[in-house]
Amino acid sequence: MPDLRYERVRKVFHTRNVEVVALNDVSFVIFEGELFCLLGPSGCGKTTLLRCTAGLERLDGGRIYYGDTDFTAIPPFRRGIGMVFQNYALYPHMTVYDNVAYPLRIRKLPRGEIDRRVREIMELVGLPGVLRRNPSELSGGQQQRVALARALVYRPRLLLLDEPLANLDAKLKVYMRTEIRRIQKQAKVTTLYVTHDQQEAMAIADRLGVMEGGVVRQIGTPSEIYDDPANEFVAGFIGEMNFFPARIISWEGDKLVVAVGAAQKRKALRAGIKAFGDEVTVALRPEHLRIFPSTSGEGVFKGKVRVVQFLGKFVRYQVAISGDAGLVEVDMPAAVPGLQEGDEAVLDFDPRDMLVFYAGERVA
Amino acid sequence: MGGITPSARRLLHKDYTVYLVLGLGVLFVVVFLAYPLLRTVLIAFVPNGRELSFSNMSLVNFEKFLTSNLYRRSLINSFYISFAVVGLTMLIGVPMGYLVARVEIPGKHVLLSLSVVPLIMPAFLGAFAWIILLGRNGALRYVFERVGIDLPPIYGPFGVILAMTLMYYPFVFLLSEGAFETANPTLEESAAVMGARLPRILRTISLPLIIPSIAAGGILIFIRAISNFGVPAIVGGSTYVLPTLIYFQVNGFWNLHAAAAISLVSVLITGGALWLQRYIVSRREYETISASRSKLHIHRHPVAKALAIVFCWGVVLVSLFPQFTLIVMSFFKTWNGLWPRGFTLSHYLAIPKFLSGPIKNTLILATSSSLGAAMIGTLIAYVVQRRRPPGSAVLDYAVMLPFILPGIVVAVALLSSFSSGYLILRGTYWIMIISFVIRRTPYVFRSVSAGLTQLDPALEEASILSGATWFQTFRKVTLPLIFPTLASGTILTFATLLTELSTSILLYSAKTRTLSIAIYDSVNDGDYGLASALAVVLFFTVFAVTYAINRYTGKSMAASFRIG
Repeated sequence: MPDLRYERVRKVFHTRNVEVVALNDVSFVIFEGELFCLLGPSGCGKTTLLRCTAGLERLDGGRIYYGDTDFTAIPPFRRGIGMVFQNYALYPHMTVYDNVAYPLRIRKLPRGEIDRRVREIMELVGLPGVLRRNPSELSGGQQQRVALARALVYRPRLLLLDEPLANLDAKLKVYMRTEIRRIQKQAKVTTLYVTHDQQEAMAIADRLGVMEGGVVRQIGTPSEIYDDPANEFVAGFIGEMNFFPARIISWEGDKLVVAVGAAQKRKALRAGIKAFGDEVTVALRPEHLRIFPSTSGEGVFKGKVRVVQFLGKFVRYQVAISGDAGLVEVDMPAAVPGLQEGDEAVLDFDPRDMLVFYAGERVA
Repeated sequence: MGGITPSARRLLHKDYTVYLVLGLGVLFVVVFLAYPLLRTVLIAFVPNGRELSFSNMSLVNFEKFLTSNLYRRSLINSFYISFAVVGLTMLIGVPMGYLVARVEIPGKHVLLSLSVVPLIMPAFLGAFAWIILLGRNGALRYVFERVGIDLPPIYGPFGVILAMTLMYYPFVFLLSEGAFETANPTLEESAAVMGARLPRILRTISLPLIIPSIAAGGILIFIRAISNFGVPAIVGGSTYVLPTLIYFQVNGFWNLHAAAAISLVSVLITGGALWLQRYIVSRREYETISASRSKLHIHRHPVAKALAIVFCWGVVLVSLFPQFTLIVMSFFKTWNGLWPRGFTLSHYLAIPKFLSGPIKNTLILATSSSLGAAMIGTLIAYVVQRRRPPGSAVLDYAVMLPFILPGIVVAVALLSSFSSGYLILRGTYWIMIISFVIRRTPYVFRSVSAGLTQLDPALEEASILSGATWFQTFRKVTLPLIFPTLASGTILTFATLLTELSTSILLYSAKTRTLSIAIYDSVNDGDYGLASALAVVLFFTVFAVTYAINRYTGKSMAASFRIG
């Protein structure tokens, strides 16, 4: 079972006299055949980890194992990795055919075999019939497919994709991410996919890792990451989130009661959480908040509606609540009757949707 | 894998060709550049005839700059002539640049193309042609005397400054023409809208904007002028400058120690100038290139046009006098007074005699040296750009160093290192080739470096990940992609080596005499007809090569000579 294992991988860059820790003892596993996404803001170390996997950067500590093989001891040209670069890195002085055949020629395969494999892989990426053209004559999406074909043609044990959709327009991005997943599943190749686009990552990944400051902050399936963020960073980075300061009122067994806004809310504590302080943060997604006119009762927060946006499937309210500078975002499935910009409103929510963080880490 | 230890396995896996190949390039630089230069610096502090040892060190060789009249005058002349050349090229080049860029001139493209012809001509040939025109019995001097103008003698500062100015002004001209052409028109338009008239706009907007790039170009001309050997050697007469003083010390007295000391002073001057140039360029913060495609105001007033035509065409035609003169001279026996006398083809018929000697030598040396420079320049550019090993910055500077070394200094360095001891190369083809390679590597290095910075490293990484070794990647991906840059750089190097004089003048032997040396000797022997015929052949060969390479790269002749 050749999984890809990272064990305490460390990388430090020295620029002038400043040391930047790009990867701070990163450890996790990518399972065989899986499409794993590394997601994070720029500078979080995701591309560095990808380049370390390829062998294009040397590690300053730790090991990368492919099954029982220590990848760290193998030079990049012997690792048997396919990689798609952000700008595709197609050779401008070769035709599409020669580009795709290049890795096979390096491996000195017989001509007939090369020809058969090139045609087969071009079929798989859905781009037969452009073999004699130059890469520059192809559209962005087509170049993307050629780059994929070149990375897959020698049946690598690992496929690495570095922001492969960054240079495509929005519509093509959505289409190509479906295509990449189809091709990856058909080729059955373990894949590491790096992106800063969370929608892309959520749509394409079997599992994903969210990185920040050289550390993997959470690993999980897209729904785990979205519904059950492990810390404040992941909660804020993935999707939209409202954060509110809160205070602990009581704490009995695994039941926690917090004072947030004008109300007290109860939630079950996560397993294994021991002692922590009084000041906590409560987080709620816009779709988990409810808004109604202040005339119809008391809520958790009081505020004034600043903006109402009709966004098709839902209506977004931006509300300025008292004692807080930021605007709270609330998504309702339909417009609330009698609630317009400038009106006083109250907000409420179901305590089961509430996420509680202490010092950045999830406690309930 | 049985008994093989993990570390041994790693050794087997690794690709060591890269270190082997790159090591060769580095070795060449160390043996033939770093060592000779170090040695030159050291012997500069040792009196002539003494052993090179620490106890013998003194400043005796440098004291001559204070005690010897010849040394002092040479130093002063070098500065005086170079500053004069910079000043005059500015006075001619900047207005001409403005006029060509901003006034409607008929035949603008022809004018631009013709203006680079002086740059293709080897310096010493230009000087030689001015001797024919302005020597004691020169045709132009005759004309001037008729209208009552008494010119100073051509041998001396006047001749040197004249020949250099007319040779180097195209640098300033092309630079300022380009700057005026690409300037942002809205800056001038806004000044005009605010009520400024043309002279004020020129003084307060247009000129200040291009001053940094013009200043940088001026310093490069200063470096070229102060390093030039050919012109002062031909028309300097008794006026010595630093390069001719070095030649005098080596050729007259075989005093390499004195030559080394003079070389050191000369290199310090050019080094300082280059530092100043870098400083100015780094502070050039104006963004004058306009993003908007709004059109520049072009002057169409008849008076402006007439002025521009007379000035620009006048300068270009005068700067072409040398070429014209050499062609005429090559067909005549003598040229004393207004008209040449005694039409003859004998000079050209004598050329076959040179085929087996100087012409063959020139071709062999230029070909092998440009290929050598191409190889070493490419390898080192690759190391510095892609590998960035510790110390690559040192390597970068080391390779670029000959760029500021006057050619004759390179010759002194090689002579002082390889005339005795373990490796004796004096008088061989090898020392000529090595000197040419050392001097021209910076050009290849720079153009390949530029090519590599534009080449996305991802292309090479993709190849490595596809399973290619370093060498396979270099051969199949890197080299084909930088080949156009490399080829044009190499062929231009070849063209410049055809006319090389300042290094070979000290290094040649009877066996390795080149065409340039043969022409130089013919001039000194007073055989002007033969010298002209050889010069014409040389010039047209260089012109043809340069023209071909510009066609190949798709650049205009003018574009490839823009500096700064």
